[in-house]
Amino acid sequence: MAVRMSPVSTLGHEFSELYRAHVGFVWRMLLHFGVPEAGVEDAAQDVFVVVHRRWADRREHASARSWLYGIARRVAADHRRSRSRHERKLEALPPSRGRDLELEVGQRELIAMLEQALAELEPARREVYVLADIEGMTAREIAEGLGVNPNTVSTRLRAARLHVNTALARLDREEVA
Amino acid sequence: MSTHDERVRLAVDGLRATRGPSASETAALLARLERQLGGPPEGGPSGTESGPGAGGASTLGHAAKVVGATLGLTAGGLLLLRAGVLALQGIAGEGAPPAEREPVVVDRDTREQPPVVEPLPHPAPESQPAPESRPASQPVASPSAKQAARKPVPSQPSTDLLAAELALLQAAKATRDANARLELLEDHADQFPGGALASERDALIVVALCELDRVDEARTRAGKLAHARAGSPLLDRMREGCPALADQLSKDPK
Repeated sequence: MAVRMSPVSTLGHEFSELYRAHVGFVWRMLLHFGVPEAGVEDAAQDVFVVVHRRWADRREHASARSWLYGIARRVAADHRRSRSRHERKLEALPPSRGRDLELEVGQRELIAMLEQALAELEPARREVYVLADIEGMTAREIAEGLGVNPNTVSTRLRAARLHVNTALARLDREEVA
Repeated sequence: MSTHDERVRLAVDGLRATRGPSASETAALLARLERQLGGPPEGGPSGTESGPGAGGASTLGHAAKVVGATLGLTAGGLLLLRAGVLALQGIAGEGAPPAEREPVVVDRDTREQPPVVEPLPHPAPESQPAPESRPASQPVASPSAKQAARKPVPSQPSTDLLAAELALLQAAKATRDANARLELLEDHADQFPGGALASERDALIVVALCELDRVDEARTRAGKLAHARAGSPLLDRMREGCPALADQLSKDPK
């Protein structure tokens, strides 16, 4: 059998390893940056095309994620700018994540509460919270990705966590009432 | 408070789990990238991963840059000196002989290297020939890709091959858009021309072509498959998926 590639990918071991390890992160970041679900696959493709083109740049960053984060942010901005009215209509459609249905009702409600709490946050704090507590990035990685001081990251994160905890407790109370 | 923290953690985990791509989306996106990019990226020796552990690599890279810059500046300075001398000789009217040899050794070295080709996206295939007749589209190895090419491709167990085939076919099946599905299937044909699931793939291609009103192409492919797999349940599935071929498939020898 004349297979001309490894079953992993024609794109090489390193690239495909990076892809598999971080495609979820890129995907979530694009959603976080406002790319609609209908366009996230195209945007993710654009991110990895940039990764492929700038492959040599990866060593200049503290981590792959901080590098990918910067690329995803720029790609998301481009997608937001270039979106047509038609695409914006698609965005207005309700999300169709089938996996949401697999969750228990309680967890779905909990996630909705967290999303609401995050939506109330100031964007800079929300960004840090998402990167630290949802994506598990270190303060150093976040600082590099955002181009800010690590102390700034810590300050924003503390404020964001406080807000999320307070907001979830409040939303819990509102639900019970 | 600990219960509250636990609830936050549960919400965070749930959010992370539900906002990522599914397995089929991951496979489909990788297939699209492979189609667009064609081969491994260029950009330095492989075997180093970006990340905190890449400090040694970046140090080496920095040292190489310093050496390169020094050599470049030195060569540039010598060139400037040489040009200055020639200019002075010209002004003095001493009839200096024209330079017979090119002093720029650095240029000669770089000229001998083939040009580095920027990876370009492949044009989207409109109508692809049969997989067997399609040439492998491996990119020409550039100097920077030599190391990657030198790395031996590990021989994969057949189960891995089958899993990779299956993942791609599943991604194709999960794709509603017939054009996108066909692209994935043709990608499968590229990667696994004689794969264990080749017949399954060809049947899906027939149905996708039919959905796209490319009935003649569907008919040709269906004929080949019917000939090769007479009596296969795949023929029934093609008939169901493409009623326009019902007559042909029932007439084919079984």
